[in-house]
Amino acid sequence: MDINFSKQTPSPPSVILASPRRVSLFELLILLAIGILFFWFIVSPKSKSLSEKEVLAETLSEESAKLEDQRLKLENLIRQLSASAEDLEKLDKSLPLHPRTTWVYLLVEDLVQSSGMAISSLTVSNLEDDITAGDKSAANPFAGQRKVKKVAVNLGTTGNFTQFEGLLKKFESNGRLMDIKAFEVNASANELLDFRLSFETYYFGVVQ
Amino acid sequence: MAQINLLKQSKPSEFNNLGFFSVLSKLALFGIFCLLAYYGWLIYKHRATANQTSTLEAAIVSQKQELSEIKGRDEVLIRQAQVKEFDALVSGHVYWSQLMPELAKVTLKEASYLSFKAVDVGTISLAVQVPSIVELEKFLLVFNSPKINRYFTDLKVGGISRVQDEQESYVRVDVQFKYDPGLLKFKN
Repeated sequence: MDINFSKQTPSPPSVILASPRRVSLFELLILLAIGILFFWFIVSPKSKSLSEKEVLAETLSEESAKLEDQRLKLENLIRQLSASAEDLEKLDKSLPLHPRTTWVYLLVEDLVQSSGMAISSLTVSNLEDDITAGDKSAANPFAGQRKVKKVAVNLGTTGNFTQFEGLLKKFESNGRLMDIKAFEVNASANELLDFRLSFETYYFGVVQ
Repeated sequence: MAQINLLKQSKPSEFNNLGFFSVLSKLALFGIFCLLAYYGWLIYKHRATANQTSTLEAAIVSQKQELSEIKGRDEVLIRQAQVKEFDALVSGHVYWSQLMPELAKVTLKEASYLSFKAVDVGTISLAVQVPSIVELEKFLLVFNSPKINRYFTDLKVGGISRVQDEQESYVRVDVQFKYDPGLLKFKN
C-alpha cells in the first residue's frame, strides 16, 4: 500500500505563508520607497531646475523691458539733440571736442584786446599728446571714449587795474571755460601794471 | 477525522490587518499618482519656461543689436558725457573778480600794493607799501576786525624794510595770508 504523504501532511494554506497583513505592509513599504525616491531624485531636482529657469526668465524679461525703455529714451534724446543745435554750439564752445590750441590763442588775444590791454607774452600749450590735424580716425567725431583734457595758458599783459578787473570778468563770463590758477600783479613803466596769469582751459578729447 | 480549521480561529479583524494596510497602500498609490501628475506638470512648465527664456534671449540680442545701430546713438552718448563733464568743471570754476572788492575793503587808503600774487590753492602774497610803521600796524589790525574782514586769515608778515627813493620814503612789507575759497565761488 502506497502511503500518500501529501494527504497525510497537507501543505499549509497560502494565507498562512503569505498573510494579507505581510503582503500589504510590504507593498506599502515599496510604494512609500518608490514615492520617496521618485520625489527625491526626479521631482525635486526638476522643481528646483524649474525655479531657476523661472528666475532666469524673469531676469531676462526685466532686461528686455529695460532695453526697450533705453531704446525709447535714446530715440527721445536723439530727437531733442537734433532740435538743440544752438545749445550744442554753446556746449562745443565751452568744452570743444577738438584740441586745437590756435582757437585758444585767438580767443585770449581777442579778450585781452577787447579789455584795452596789451599782450606782452602769450603761451598756449597742449598738455596732452593729441593729434591736432590729419587724424584719419576722426571720420566719426563721436566714436570712441573721451575725457576732459587740459590746455595750459600763460599770459603776460599790461594795463591798469580797472582794465584787469574787466579782463578777469571776461574770462569768467566767456563761453569757453577758463580756470585761472594763479595771477601776479607788478608795477610796470608809465604808471601801468604788469599782469601775469596762468590758467587752464579744457577740451573733451579722445582717449588714446 | 474532523479537521481543525485554524484559519477561522486565527482570522484577524478586517480593520487591523488587511483593510488598514490596503487603505494605506491605496493612499500611497494615490500619492504616487499625484507626484506623477505634478512631475508631468513640471515637465510641461519647464518646457514652456525654456521656450520663453530662449525667446527672451533672442529678443535681447536683437534689442542690443538694434540699440547699437540706432543712428545718432554715439553722438548722444558723447554729448551726455560732455554735458556731465562741463557741469563738473563749472561747479569748480572760480571767480577771481570777486576777490578784488573784498581785498579793497581790508586795504587802508594809505596802503598800496607793489606786487600781488594769488594762487588757487588758497594763498595770496602781497608786497605792501605804507608811509610808516604806524600805518603798517593799522593795516595789520584791519585783518583782526571781523566786521571788515570776513574772508582773509592767517596773515604772516615777511620782511619789513624802510625804502628811501628819490621822491619819498616808505615802508615795504611782504605779507602772505589765506583766503576763504568760498569767496571765489559763483554768487548771483
